[in-house]
Amino acid sequence: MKDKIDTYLKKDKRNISIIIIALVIIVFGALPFYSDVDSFFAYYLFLCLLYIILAQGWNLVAGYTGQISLGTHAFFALGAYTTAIIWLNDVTKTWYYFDPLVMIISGFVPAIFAILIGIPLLSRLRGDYFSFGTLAAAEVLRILILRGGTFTQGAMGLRLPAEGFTGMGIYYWTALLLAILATAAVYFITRSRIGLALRALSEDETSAASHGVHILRYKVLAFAIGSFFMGICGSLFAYYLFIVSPPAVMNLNWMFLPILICVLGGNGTIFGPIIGAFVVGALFSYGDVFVGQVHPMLSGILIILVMKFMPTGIMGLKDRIFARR
Amino acid sequence: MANQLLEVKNIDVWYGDVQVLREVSLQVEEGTIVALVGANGAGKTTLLKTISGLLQPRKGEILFTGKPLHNLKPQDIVDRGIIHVPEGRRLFASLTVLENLKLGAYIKRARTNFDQSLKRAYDLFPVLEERKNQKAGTLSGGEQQMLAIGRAIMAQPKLIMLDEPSLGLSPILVKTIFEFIRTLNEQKATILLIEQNINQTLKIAHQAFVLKIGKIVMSGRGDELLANEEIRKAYIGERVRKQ
Repeated sequence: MKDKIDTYLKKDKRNISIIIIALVIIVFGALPFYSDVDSFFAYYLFLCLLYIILAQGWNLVAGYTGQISLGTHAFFALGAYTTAIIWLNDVTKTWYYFDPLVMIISGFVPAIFAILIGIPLLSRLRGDYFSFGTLAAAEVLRILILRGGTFTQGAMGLRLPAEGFTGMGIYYWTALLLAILATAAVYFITRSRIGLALRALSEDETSAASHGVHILRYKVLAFAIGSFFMGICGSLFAYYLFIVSPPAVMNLNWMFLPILICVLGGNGTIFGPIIGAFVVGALFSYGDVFVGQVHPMLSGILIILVMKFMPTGIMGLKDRIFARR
Repeated sequence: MANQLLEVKNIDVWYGDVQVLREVSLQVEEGTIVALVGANGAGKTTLLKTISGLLQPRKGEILFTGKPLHNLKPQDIVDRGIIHVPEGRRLFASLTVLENLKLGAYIKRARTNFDQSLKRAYDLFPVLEERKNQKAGTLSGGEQQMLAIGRAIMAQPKLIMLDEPSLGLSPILVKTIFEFIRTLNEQKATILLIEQNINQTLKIAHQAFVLKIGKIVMSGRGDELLANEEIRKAYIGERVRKQ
């Protein structure tokens, strides 16, 4: 009897969560109809959605698999450059501007890059060394881009034709769709057999291996999937900026902010990166407006405080509050 | 001679420049409990790690069901039917009991009979079913050891290697764990057991090997060794009565 009631309650709880998630998506989807899409607030939301995509990619690798990558900006840049190069060289003979095919290719190129660097980095290097390895790979990529001649236009960057621009609406909706897809992907992966293996190996690699989990294969898989989303995100950003250059897309902020977002929101949780993205997005976007050049300092202090007092992030606070009761 | 499940033949194992095992040979007959006893640092854990593929022998060979094993990767060795329950249990603390059991059955061969294995683990340790949605890290020491053994069963192994299952448990729990090991064996599982608790171990072991500074110095039936004066003096700490 008690079991039956429990299952009913569980079902109810699940239905309620589905309804809430659907409502939130509808509200976000409808937002451009009610507010000015070209306002600063809309830009802020667009940026937060980009952060969510990047942060979910990082979350899968670091939060669930335990591998701290410092190469997010490289995958982001690779996605952006892939889009620009395909477009400017007329490779796919499609319409290029917001072309799903180009965006998907821009996800696959970083994913393949992740597999290529992931196999040596993840099989030999552990922990900190993997982090340094990804950072080094990103620096190598930066130099390749700077020395790329006419192919990448070096420090000048590639300029994309901006005639197709009609307004922020399509950017916002595409970012929203990608953020939902990235979140859903992380959700379903982590609840599958693959996710079980990832969480197990993040806790104890030796023990996971001795139960037949193919450690390297799963680590590389998570790394590639995360990079896929980072690449698509870079592609979207290329469409937004119409210029793909090292200072714009290889900015270290693209690596640093997703980490901050995951840590602040709650690493290894589904909603942590979403909450973190809005909080960090607000701090950085509005910090820029109101306190100008001081805000990087304030953000640094914030990171230290979070690490010290909230190591499990905002999602961890919930557990701590409930545990105290 | 009866059916040998595992044969370790003259293996040498080194940690870097230090030789830990010297020409170690050992046989595990199908359906028996084999004990490996010896003092700290004798190389017992090293031997288990070598069998499960975490270490490679420099010399010698390991045969499992007559086929060589020492060149395989850990996950392939699990697939062949050897499961290692390491010292300190090595559970996934932040995963639930059920998730730990699912990981035990991760390999393809075990997955197909998942429900059957799960029932077997729950029958042996009913407490695991009661706590299936609890995180493994919140279990008591005894329950964690039960989960570690339950997780091992999930892989449907031909050979279960247990490294110090009684470590850190209260005397009553130690007794319970030994009973479980015996039950497991009665259900046709072959067990290779490392223990500090030599008295209890030799009572349930069919065959035992004594390892001393990397060498097998003695072997025989469990009860024979238990009666051996030297063993009693060296490892059980019992004063030998003068007759």
